[in-house]
Amino acid sequence: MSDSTFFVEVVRDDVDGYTNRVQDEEAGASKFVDNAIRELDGRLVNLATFEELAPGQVPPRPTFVKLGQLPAGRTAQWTGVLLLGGSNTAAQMFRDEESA
Amino acid sequence: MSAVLELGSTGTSVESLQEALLAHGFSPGAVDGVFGSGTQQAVMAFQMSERMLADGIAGPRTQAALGLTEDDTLADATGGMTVQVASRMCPGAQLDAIKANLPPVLAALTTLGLQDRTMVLMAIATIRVETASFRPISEGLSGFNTSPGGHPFDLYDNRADLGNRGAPDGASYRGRGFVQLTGRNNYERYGPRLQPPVDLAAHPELANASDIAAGLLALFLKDRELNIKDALLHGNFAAARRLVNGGVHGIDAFTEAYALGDSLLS
Repeated sequence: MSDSTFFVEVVRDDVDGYTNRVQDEEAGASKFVDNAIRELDGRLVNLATFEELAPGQVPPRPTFVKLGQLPAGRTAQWTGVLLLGGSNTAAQMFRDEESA
Repeated sequence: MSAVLELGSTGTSVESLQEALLAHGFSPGAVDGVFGSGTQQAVMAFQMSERMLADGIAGPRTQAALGLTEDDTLADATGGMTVQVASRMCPGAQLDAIKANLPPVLAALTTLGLQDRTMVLMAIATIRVETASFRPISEGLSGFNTSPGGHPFDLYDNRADLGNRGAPDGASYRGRGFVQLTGRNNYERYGPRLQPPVDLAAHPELANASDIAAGLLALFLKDRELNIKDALLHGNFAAARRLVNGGVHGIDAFTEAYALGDSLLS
């Protein structure tokens, strides 16, 4: 893990909630890298990894969906497992198109 | 579903069974409507010839194979496998983990026709030993998979028997899920068989999603169903465990969980 990465604990019940949390974090000039389910203080949480970006940089808006629900024409930027509502849930993330 | 006929059963159903056995070339002795040792031996011989579990009991599958019924559905034991029963079988697991993960496990077993008592108990006892927490988990570092001073899972990297082709295959295809699916071969083999199919070779971490882990457990057990039932029919828990684990790791906990569940299932 490089010096430019950091972790954020995310506890949410659904993909929309997870999406909102990641969007908020990325608005502060960082980019979602990965998610791992870890035990912290006896409870399971999502531990999302972010990479710091240069000040002012904001990546295209991410949206997380359950596996198999990727909108037509979208390419998954990330595939993995999220803890949602207490269950390990297969999920994917796509991003808005880069502006021209 | 047809009634199960076994040693001691009597009546017209047994008479029909005896006639069907005779018609298939397996004489039960007298066709008298009494399920005695002759009928039992004929049932076992028929089951062996059909490569079925030779338990001498004419359940739905045997009766269907004899043409006595079209419904070969086994008695459903999933309703009796409650959170409470699973919790007793898996004392190290938290209740919320069982509440979250038991439903997809039972659903996956039912989908593959593994809803009978033996396979339900086998599945939960396997989870007890493989994950303890009743959550799909990744294999941890140990002396079995990582050499002293080596990178994580380096001892798996070149395991040709697992289909691995060198680093980073060892770490990528380490044990995951309820059944601890391990090795490139298994990830490539089982991913396409899931409903819907999942590219586990490209995304092995998905084996830890609850629904996918449940599907993998069911597929793994389905492939070994006959041998597992044969082993358990003879009380050979070590053989049943070996069919899943390759060895007898956790055999005491497995046996304890199975026996306890068997006593608790209504």
